[in-house]
Amino acid sequence: MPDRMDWLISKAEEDGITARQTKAGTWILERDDQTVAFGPTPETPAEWLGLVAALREMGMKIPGD
Amino acid sequence: MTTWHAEVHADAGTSRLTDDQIDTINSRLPGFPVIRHDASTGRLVLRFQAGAATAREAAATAFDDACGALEAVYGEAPPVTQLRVLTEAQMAAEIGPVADIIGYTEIGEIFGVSRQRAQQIATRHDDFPAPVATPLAGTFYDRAAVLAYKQRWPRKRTGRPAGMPKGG
Repeated sequence: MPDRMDWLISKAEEDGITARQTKAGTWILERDDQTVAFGPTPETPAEWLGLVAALREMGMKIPGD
Repeated sequence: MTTWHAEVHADAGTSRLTDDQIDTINSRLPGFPVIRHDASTGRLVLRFQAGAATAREAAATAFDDACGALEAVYGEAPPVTQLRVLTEAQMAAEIGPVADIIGYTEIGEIFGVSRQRAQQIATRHDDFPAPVATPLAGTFYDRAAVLAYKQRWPRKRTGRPAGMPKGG
């Protein structure tokens, strides 16, 4: 899901969330005291579901809301 | 064997997790782990997938997996305050609809054309579905809307009409 990851990271940055990767490739999204980490890339809809749940709790607006 | 979505909450303290701690937790949990930490409350939420025959077995496995990952970081696992396991259908119902986001690369794959041609199709046809998101780094569309458009797409053939001679 390369397009989806491109979208996710650019959307996060647009929402004021900083995005970076650890040396191991784990994505870390941070805003204020909130941190969401995952990675490296969700490959299946099931994996995407858990990520969407965490990102919505962080305040990101995922289309489909 | 059913794949369960596990969600384990723990009181991990208000210190921010370091990259090494995050990588350690990530590497110790099965499936696709997602870690969420709120440094203002200390709440740590671990989401991952666990294969098990029953919810009871899934809960026990998830608890052990989460405690193992937390022990690897903290030495002693912080107190687990909540644990849930859901089937994929239950998880999907709880999350609600999520747009299946695609970009020009995947649109190109759907239409059997290059990424550049996909961008032309999307931007030069007034009836092409509108983007669902246009963040700074690109333009993104809903897969279902693009697939529906493809059904009615009047693909124009280029090149010589049939029967036209090759020469000038």
